[in-house]
Amino acid sequence: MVRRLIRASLLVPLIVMLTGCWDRNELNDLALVTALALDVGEDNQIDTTIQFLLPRSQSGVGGTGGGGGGSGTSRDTAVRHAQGSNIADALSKLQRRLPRKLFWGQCKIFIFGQGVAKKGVQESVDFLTRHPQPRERSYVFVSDGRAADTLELFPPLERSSAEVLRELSDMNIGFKLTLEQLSIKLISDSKAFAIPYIHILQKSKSAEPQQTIPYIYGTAIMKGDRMIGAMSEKVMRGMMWINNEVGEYTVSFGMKGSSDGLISLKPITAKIKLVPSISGDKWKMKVKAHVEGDMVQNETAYNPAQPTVLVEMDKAFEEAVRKRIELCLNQAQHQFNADIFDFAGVYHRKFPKLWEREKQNWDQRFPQVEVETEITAHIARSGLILAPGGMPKEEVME
Amino acid sequence: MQDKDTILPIQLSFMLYPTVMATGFLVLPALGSLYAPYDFWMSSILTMIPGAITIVLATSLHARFPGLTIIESGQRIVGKVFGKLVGLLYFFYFLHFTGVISREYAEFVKSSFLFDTPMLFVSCSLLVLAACAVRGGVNVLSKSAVIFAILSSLPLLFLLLLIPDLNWTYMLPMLSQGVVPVLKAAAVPQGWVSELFLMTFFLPYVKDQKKAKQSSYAALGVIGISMMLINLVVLMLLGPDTSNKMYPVLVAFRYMSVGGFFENLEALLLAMWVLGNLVKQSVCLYATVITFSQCFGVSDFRSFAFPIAILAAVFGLWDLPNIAALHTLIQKVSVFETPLFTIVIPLLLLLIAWMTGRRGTNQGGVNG
Repeated sequence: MVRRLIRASLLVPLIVMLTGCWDRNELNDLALVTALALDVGEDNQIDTTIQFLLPRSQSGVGGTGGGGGGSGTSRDTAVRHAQGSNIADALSKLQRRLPRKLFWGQCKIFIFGQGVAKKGVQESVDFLTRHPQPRERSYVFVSDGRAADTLELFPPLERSSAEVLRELSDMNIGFKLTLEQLSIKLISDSKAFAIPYIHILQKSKSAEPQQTIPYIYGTAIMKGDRMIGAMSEKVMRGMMWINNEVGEYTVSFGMKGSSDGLISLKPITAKIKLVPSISGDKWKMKVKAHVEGDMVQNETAYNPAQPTVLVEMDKAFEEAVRKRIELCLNQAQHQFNADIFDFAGVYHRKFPKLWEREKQNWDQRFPQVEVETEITAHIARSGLILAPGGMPKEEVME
Repeated sequence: MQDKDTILPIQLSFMLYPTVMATGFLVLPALGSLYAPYDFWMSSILTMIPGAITIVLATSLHARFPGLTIIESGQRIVGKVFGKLVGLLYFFYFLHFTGVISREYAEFVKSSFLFDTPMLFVSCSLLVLAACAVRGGVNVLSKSAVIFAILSSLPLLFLLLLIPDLNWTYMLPMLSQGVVPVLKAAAVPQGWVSELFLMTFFLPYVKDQKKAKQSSYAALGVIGISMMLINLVVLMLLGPDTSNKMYPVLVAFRYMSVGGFFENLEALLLAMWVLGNLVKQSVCLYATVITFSQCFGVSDFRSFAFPIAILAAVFGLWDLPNIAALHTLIQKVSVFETPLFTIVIPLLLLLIAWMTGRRGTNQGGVNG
């Protein structure tokens, strides 16, 4: 019995080990990083800026429940920056200016400043994917201007500007890119891709100086690992159509013959198929799209309940989709010569042998690819009313 | 072998599954992707073949020499001197093997989770547990394996949570370079699957040999399915980036996100890693200890569990100066080393026994 007790007491020291050995971390020794911004610093150095969460009790509004006045923005985050010859160097310098240990487990946003994006992101991606702490599912963005500026905003809603960007990405309105996807795209066949581009929203009149948010507007066009330009929101939509990423999004278009108003559809569902073909030296790509949408607004005088009218509307819808796709294709092929649709991958999958021989010529080949669009578009439902709402019967065009 | 312990056939398969899967599954897709970036998932089917061969070899050796492990039957087949030499070879191989897996275990824990903890501490803490299990004998081993194998393999099903993030086009173009790359991709995992040969040390304890064979095949089948699942999910998630990842399965677990709050599942991966490795290390350590005691004719193997565990920890440190050496060992050396001990030597022994017509049991005959 005594022997047993002695033996059992030998287990007690094990409890000491359960605390995580040498790697014990206390929450109040950690600085929870929410976002990392990378900019070009002085002397071609890299300037890293982190945004980290302030513990509730220190942010000033802690205990006061509900009510409260509009005096002073509640600040849940702070930023700090440091420069270095690369990210690892800069972050180690940054750590010297921060009394708590940087913790990356909650960091879901990485923002490249335009300057860094133009110099190339590959070295940064190496750090972010090699270091064991940053998460592969974090979202990456390129910012218009300095990336650090987007972190020094204090949004009226949400705790931090990083959280705003994450929520906006999760809503599926624009497109999003995770760190792992970026890492894959950098070695993809097409050697070109798009990264969501963020701007700072102009603040409303009553808001305080920094009380606004960053938001996603268009895309940065990357070739190799460098940014070569940006696409506007409208053109970006065309890319999302081709890449089959149309999410929560409203399409508005006019009818032929009636200049006075638009028809808007939401939500839109689309099925896109890319059919590549090669005949001789001509490379062709057929974009087959099957699109459906529900009407949410009808500014024209036409009555969508009439089958003949609806056919006309479908045609206009089809034309609208085609225009968007062609606008984007045109820019990508002729202005940027950047295969952001990964047509290269489509050819590679369909003609693997030929692709091995031709892949080094893709840069010259891509602008010459003949793209044909084959679109079938339908307005599936017309909402809760039939004829245009609030319009006297005699004015409705059947 | 004076134990009166017995193992149920089902317990045998629960011991064999982690013995093959526990360390390898973490790097499996990266190794295949080096050779066949789009097709490596097919290699999982090919790896079943050497697995089936080792099962046949182990069971037919045991059928000729019932109640004997390969070390004992080797001494009956090629004589005492040569038999002991072969046994010594096996001892060094198993010792080295146990060392390597404990290094692999510690390397992953240190590089991804416990950055500041000394590696020796990580590897030794599990080896001590494994040595305790070995001291407990076959009964303890087999019963703990059932619990730990289930706990350590269930998290694999969590990979299915990644389905919304998968891109099936990464599987195309299929077989564009022919089947040779797929064969190359199967080279490394076939070595792991042939580790099933370790069953030779447990067959003497199983009463129903026919069922033992069946449950080994069942283990092999589940291993094949698990490998296929891991390969497919990782391929469709990481695509061409797979080969550049140190631990692709870790990336997959980190990538999981369900509803925005069910995240950071790598802790689960660490849990299954520890449990699976505990079973694997105790099975391998057991094989090492038994080989040692049978080779030198010591009747009580238990007292060697701890000394040999210490030796294994040392082997793990000294064999491999850095992670690049570990990679070379896994990719280039073990491809040939493992099948040498699990297929070639047993096959030779079996052939010699068949030609000379030797048979035997542990009752009577030469004293092992």
